[in-house]
Amino acid sequence: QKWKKDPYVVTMGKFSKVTNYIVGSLRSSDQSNQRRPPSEMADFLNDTIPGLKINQQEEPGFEVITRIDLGKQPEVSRREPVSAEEWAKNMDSEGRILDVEYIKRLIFKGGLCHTLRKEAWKFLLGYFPWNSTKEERANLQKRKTDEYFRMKLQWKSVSEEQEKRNSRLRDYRSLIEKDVNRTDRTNKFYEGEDNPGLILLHDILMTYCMYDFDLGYVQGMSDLLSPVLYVMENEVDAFWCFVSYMDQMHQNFEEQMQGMKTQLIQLSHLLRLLDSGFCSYLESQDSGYLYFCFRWLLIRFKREFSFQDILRLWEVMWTELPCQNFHLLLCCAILESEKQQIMDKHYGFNEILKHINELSMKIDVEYILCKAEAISMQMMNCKELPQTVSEILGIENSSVTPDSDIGEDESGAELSCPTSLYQSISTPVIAANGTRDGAQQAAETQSLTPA
Amino acid sequence: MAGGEGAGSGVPECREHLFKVLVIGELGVGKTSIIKRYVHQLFSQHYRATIGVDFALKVINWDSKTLVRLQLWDIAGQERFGNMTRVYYKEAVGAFVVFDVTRGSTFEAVSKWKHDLDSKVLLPNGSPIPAVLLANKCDQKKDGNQNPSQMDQFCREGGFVGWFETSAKDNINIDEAARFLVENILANYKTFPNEENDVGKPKLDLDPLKAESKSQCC
Repeated sequence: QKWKKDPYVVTMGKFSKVTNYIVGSLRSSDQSNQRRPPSEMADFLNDTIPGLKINQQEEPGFEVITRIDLGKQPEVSRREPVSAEEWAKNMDSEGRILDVEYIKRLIFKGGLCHTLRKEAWKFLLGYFPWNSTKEERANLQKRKTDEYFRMKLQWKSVSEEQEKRNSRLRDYRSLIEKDVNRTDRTNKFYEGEDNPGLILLHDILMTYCMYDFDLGYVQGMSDLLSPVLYVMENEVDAFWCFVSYMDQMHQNFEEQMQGMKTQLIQLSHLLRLLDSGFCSYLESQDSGYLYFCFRWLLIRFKREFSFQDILRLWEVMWTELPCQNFHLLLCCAILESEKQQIMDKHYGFNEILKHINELSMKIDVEYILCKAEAISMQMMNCKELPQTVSEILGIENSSVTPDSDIGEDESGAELSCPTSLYQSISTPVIAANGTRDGAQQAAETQSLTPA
Repeated sequence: MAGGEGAGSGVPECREHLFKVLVIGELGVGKTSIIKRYVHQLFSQHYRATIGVDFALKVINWDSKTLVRLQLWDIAGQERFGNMTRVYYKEAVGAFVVFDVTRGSTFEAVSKWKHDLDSKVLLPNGSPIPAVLLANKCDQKKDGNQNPSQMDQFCREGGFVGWFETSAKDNINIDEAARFLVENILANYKTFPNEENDVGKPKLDLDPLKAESKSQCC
């Protein structure tokens, strides 16, 4: 019965060794099967979500042949957060950062100690150029302060009468007021009735509407601003850092939500390479389009981790190491950790959604960062990485499997990140010390959540 | 058959149902607050804006023979997400459509939500799932709202099985509205004794593990 329903999953377990053995010998003849022609793509999704096309696997057994062996997941350790001393040592007398790649690697491997965040986030987010001097940054801040208050004055000076005739501004204001009132209200910085943090949150979001009136305000943006403002403790700096963050996240919030669709498609490519059996299972439960990752992607895991963990996770992601779209590998890492429970308990569409949704606040951030990094190493070391995947991750790989229809690829990613850079960070910069042992231990257990 | 059936310890009629119920409506009308009030008897002004969907479970000892598990799906109200959150409607057997009596625009959007609901999910016999209209925040009600007979007519025309004035803040009519919806769901359920409309039913009809875990009622 079970075999009939999902022959692939059942068969995979038994034949995985065999397939690994025959993959090599079949490789040369199966390249055309790497990606399906558009005619084979399931089109029922288009009925529900225009523009979202995911290669639904209609003959699961077929994939056994094209499976690519990623090898064993390597052990990964993390290091201590970058200290103020390390940061200062890497700056010349005029305040230029000496070795940008080095400091980014340190941040990727361990994050930042909290006192450094206020300064370092401005670089990570792109508000401050890495090669600027202290003086240049002071001048920049002066200019940006003027620019901010000019835009703030624009909405501040709209009279009640004017606003009556401006429905879009009115709608933005009403949305912002509603959401500011319910953003991280348990955090000290935003709790209580007349907390100044709330007014700053409100004013920055209103000013962002003036900065980008076409986008205005969309739900979720207050979640992205809140940690940034908390760290900056300054209206103008928080605004410009938020502007930079929104540059990355803009597509998620646009009318057609193209950013969300693209990421779901990219994620499905990555997950298929990592674990095609799990993909087949999800498809058999009408969940192949990975909707359950919606909240993760829309606001970069903001609701999945504690406030403090989000500060760590975001600064690691902002290094753009070890590859492009690292956040999608974080999704893969979480999904892979939950795979066993989902499949063992034979969760269906509703149960999968509920299970993933309820992982919120139960995931160990250090563990998942290790696991995602390990997955990135697996993929980068893979000699037969499908071109679609190397484009999503931005890896240059001379031995990639060429795709015949590359022009149609949705990811549109550019090849930029050299593999050599990656290899240099795969060896821990500094040996993991005591505080990281917990994360390493956790990495050895199967599930994310404590039993 | 899996799902629905009792543990069978000498009480063969004992039934347990899992009903998927949607809570939809415009942003900020109080969907999350209604659910928190109903399930946890709590109220706060500061529930976070729902992104995507949130879940809550309410277990009701309906009568001596029936246990009802209401799985409440709290769906984000922002229109922009609609494209992606509508997939959550799948397999629902009932719905609350909520509006805010202090904001006329949220009432105007009710028909849009109802229409959307009916176009995305239907009962096995092809009829719409029972939907109850909730006029929330009635504690802040101003004069000049629709009178009851107008609302009755609106419900008849719009295909709602009924409507309630509710307040999550003051705990007005929420239990009553839920009870009314469950009655309607159960009435449908009796029409389909093969439990086609029971959400808890596993996708694979014969899954012994699942059937076992579900049958611990009464």
